Amino acid sequence: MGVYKGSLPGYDVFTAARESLSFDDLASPKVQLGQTPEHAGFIEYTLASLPPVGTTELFSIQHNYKYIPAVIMYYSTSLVPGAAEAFMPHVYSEVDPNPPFDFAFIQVRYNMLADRIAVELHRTGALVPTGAVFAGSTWKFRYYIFAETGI
Amino acid sequence: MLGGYYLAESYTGSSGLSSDPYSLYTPPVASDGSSVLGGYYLGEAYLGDSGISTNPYVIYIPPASSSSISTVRGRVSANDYGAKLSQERYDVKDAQDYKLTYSSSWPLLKIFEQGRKTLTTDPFLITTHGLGYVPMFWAFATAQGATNMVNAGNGLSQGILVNESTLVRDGGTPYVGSLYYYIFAIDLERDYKAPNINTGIEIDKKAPRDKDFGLKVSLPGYSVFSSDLRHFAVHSGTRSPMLHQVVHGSKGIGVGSGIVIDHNLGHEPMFFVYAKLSGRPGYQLLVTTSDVFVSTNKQQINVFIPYACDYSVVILKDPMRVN
Repeated sequence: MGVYKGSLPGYDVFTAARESLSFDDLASPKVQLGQTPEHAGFIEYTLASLPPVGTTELFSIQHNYKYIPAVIMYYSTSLVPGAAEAFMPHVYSEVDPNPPFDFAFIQVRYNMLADRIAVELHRTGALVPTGAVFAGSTWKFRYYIFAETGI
Repeated sequence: MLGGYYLAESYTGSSGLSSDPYSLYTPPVASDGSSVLGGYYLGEAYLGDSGISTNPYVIYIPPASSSSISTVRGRVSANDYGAKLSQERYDVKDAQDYKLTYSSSWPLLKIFEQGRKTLTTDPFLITTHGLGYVPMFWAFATAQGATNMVNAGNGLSQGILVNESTLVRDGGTPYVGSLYYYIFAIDLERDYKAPNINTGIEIDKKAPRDKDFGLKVSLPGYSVFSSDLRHFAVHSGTRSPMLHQVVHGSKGIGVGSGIVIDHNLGHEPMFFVYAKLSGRPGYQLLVTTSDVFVSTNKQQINVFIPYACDYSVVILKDPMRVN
């Protein structure tokens, strides 16, 4: 018997379908508060130089769960002119930022691991037109580490 | 009242057992003379663990030595009444919308179904959810040595897709091994917009942490005293993504001027974009910049999708740049 629920404005709590309830006995993704480092956070990172071919871990966030938790993450980068402050892009996993730079051989991604969430650049080959623009580029990451199972 | 709880006239519970949904419960004193319960407990979660109360609508008031309740019954405004719970350390009476743990004025991302599957054949049936509408979903899997949220591939010709009845892998993906999925009770094809109640500028009014305060509702079959947060529907020691808006539509090929959506939140929100190509068996979550490009500001979100498709943009109340 689900006895704990509330309906959205305009819906009768006794008859409302699940999607018209604001809350009930279904779980929701939950971010634990009061953690160090924060599990709901915002990180700015400056890339010193283009990383070598392979996977380079830029930084990581410890999560302290005894399992791999679910994570969502968004990013922005100064490599796309006007983008760093004008917008925050996407949930990302593997990302190929659009022109003017061809990042077809490099991906920024996060990696949900047993002890931490790693943010990585994964480079598989040469960059076109050049990788020099990466030096000094700034990146912003917004993330939620949930208590819910990730994998 | 900090980290508190509002209960007002729109909340009446669901079973109809109580003639007074606002009745307050004063807990018994434990044998050692102290209260053993530290917060609010409503309904089944409370009953399931203590067996003390037979009234599913009781509210537990912490002892005076812990905290006091100044507002249990109240109306926030003429157009907003119900229940709301602020994040710990924030005053529920004037917390911004995104500082709440929940509000009855908008939904949380309620998990209708979750599970783990091992990807084998293609196409691969992950689950038959049977909701009768196209639900929002997340999926996590491993590709090229990294585990994260799955994305569509090769111009949406491959990926994880959802429709009115199933969640499937179709067209192949680079993902191997296990996949963990969440299906939410949110209809991607039904437009929705939550009210903006308090979108004012942030005022730092955080109080010291008090772990003995708040609300916990455990899931059926789990103890409200569990230390595993996965066992809770609501827990005031956490924050949960809150749904602000769902916008569904169709577009032609090319990005054009984009899909402009007014959210009026007063801050840049977090979001998800799903798309269904003609002839494909469902919606996919768009992740990479080759599939979707999104710009946001404090009032609008602008979505650029290069494909002719049906789309659904899910906007959260949760802010992108601040906590």
